[in-house]
Amino acid sequence: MSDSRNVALRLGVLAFVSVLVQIAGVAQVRVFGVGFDLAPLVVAAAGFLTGALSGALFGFGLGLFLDLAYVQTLGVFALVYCLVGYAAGRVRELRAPEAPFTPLALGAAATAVASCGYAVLEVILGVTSPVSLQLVRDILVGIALNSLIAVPVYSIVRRWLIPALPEDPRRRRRRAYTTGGLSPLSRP
Amino acid sequence: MLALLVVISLILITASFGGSGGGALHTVQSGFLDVLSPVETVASKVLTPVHDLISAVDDVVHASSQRDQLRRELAAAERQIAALDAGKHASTDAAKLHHLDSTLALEPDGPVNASVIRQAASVWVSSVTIDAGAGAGVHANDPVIDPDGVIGIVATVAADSSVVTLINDPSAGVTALDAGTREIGVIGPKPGSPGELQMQYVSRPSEVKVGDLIVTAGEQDTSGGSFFPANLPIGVVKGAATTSGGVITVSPSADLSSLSAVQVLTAVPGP
Repeated sequence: MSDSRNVALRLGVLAFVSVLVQIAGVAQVRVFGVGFDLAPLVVAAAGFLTGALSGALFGFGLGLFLDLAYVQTLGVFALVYCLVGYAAGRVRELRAPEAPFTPLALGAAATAVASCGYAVLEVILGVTSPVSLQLVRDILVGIALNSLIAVPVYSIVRRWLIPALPEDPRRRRRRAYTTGGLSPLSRP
Repeated sequence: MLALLVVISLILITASFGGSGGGALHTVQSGFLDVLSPVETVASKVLTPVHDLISAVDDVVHASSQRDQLRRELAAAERQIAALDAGKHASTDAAKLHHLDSTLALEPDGPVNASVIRQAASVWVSSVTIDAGAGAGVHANDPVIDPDGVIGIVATVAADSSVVTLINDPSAGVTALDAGTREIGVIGPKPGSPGELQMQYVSRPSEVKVGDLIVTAGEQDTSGGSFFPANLPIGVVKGAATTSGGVITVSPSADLSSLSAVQVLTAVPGP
């Protein structure tokens, strides 16, 4: 099986399992009246690991899956998560952050973008309820909660996808040094 | 590619949002839900222990704040009940006092309502403090009654309070009579039994029977201190004298250990 098909397969399984876990378990766990939201974390992690285009496709698919599962206006989650996945991939492509807190910041940012984007789309679509302090509070609590689980979610997604991903040149280089190979600068 | 996905999303939103109820997209959604529901049910059952565990932790966190909230509500309710009880008792006592005043025609005796602000410290202390003093027209040696009958006389008067010596104090002595047989005697404390009284100096003690009502005789007391109006209830005979020199035990009508609303008769003619 080619690498790209392997990646697509793993992303599909990841999307399916994520949505199932989200709607069957995680969404029902409420802390301070707000539930955890796996979707932006998984989409951001997948986009960050696989790139902008794959991230956008994965986000679109997972969002569409959620739209169907929640029986709501089709395309809303698809649009939001498509943009989240793309943005996460672009962050990796443009800046390649390697700080230890990157997954946490990525998860928090993805949750914030997804929450705000969804709220904006709902307002555009004509939801009549006013934007209240309660909504702002819920969004902030949601971001905080998702930040708590961002690192483990990123770790799980990474473990699932890494075998199918083409080897990262930096990782390959690092492994070469640690296994006794010489740095190009050390070679005579 | 991104633009294509965004356009597809917008088309889906437009189609889904514009369609009302029974379009093709809704059919797709319903079909998807039919397929997903069993899987979702299984997943839900599998994840139930995890869900329950996290919910339990959340419940414990919330239980603490709920417990504090309920404690505050309970304390507030208890305060409210205490206030209502106090109001109810005050109302009952006032009605009884009013009834006593009208029954015994005590209005000319200048009744002044008061509340006990300090009870007797122990069963061996026979005085209480009330919240009416010289400012309310209270004088030393004024008789004091409560809704059930005589309780004592004013011993000390301050501007806004007075000390009342109860009738079970050794210094007290009230001329009394058997309401039925009209046998006269003097009511005083029963030594060794602070909750009871005894009637002494009865000329024919055998005439006084258990259950007889003892009332004030309307005479000057033995210490020459004050007059009690006649026919104020003092107590009920609890133990009759078996011999000519025997003791007649009287159970006071008023509960001297728990007094609240009282009345001072400020216009009783003095000695």
